[in-house]
Amino acid sequence: MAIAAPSPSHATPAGHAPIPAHAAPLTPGKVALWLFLATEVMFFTGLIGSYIVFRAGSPRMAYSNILPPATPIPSGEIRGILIHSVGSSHEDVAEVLRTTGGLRPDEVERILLAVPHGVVPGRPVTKAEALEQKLRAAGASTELMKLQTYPWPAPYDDSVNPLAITLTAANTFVLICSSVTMVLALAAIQRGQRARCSLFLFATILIGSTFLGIQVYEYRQLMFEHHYPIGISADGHFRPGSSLFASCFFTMTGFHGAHVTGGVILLSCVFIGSLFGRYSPSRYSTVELAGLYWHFVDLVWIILFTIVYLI
Amino acid sequence: MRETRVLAPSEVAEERQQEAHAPYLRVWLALAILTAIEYLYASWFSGIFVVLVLGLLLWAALKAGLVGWYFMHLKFEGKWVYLLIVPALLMATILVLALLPDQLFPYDDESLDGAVPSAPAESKPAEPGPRAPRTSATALPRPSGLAG
Repeated sequence: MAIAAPSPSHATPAGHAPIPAHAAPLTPGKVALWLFLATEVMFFTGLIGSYIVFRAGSPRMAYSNILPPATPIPSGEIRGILIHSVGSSHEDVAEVLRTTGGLRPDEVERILLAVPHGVVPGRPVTKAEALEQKLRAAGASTELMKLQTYPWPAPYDDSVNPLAITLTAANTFVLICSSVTMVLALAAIQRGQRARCSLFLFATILIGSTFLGIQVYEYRQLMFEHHYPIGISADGHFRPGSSLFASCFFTMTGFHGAHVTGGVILLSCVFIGSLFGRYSPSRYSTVELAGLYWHFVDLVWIILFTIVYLI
Repeated sequence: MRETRVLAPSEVAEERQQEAHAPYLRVWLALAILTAIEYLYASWFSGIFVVLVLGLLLWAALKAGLVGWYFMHLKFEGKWVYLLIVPALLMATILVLALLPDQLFPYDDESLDGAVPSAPAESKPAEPGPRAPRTSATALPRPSGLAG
């Protein structure tokens, strides 16, 4: 095609050239990158498709507020006990949970670590009421919980869903900001402002790394730091093996995070190149192509955030 | 064939770039506002699933569209680029649409649950007895042709 032809804007006098005349030139690099992005679209659609299948196929009672994920719900009424606070005597409460509650020491520890969201797993109503009375006598502040089941963890319900939506919404905005600095870097080099281009590239790397940092922080909280109630995970931590929801979450956000990591590495190389003056107003395709990839990763996150966190 | 584009006289290039540059900050503002709207929308309508999903998909599509149109320069690109994007998007749409029946007609899981009791939580509507084959607990129309 018209690869060697000068761009149409060349022919128009330097006046108010109409925008359609500025169709950007077609380069092999751009075609290749868009083709790559088309395959990436299919890759992420594949992930989203599997997510739909898993989610739609999830049994109606797969998640509940008082039993670990995927536990068969016993027949008969059951109640869990929410422990708001332990009170003055930690040891007394633990003792009650061990003896009257019949829980193993590690289970007791997990419940108490999750206070004020500690949940004693569901048991028949009479047993639950008796246990609650003893817990109160030991000084704990408690509340009986009725069984509530879900086919999939509902957003904002912290008895089944551990995701911090506010933090991630902010992180979404962080990634959007990095897209803006990226496009400004390209605009700068197209106008020949090399220092400005380097600066914006550096800002993009910095903001992209911030996104990654927040995601690593989030993973750390989910997998190690925080102790979640029983409805989220049997062992108190939200890890890929905790539930189907957890493995979907880590697969989708993990693959996206890997893309961001790749993007940061790529942009670092571009940034170093810009410091050595490798780009100019007539030679900026590297910046442009790296930018295309970076914007695509941003775009994917916009969709993933909506699907995984909000719906 | 590194850079095929021979640049126009600098003032033309500059003007072009300023045209291209101008909306970026406005697009940024729009994206910020849309993110805020999406966040609030999700918390307001978290109880009404259909409204939630349709609304959120609309906001997400708007945001993704802005990123593609302005930041990825679709606005300035020739028609060739759609030759690559449209087939991919078409296949993506077909895949999701093909899975939609899964979402609309939930899997009947009572056979998996074994002896599921009458629903314990009082908020749940009374269900037919356990193991009643293919109860339509969700009261959704179920196409007779679908194999269970």
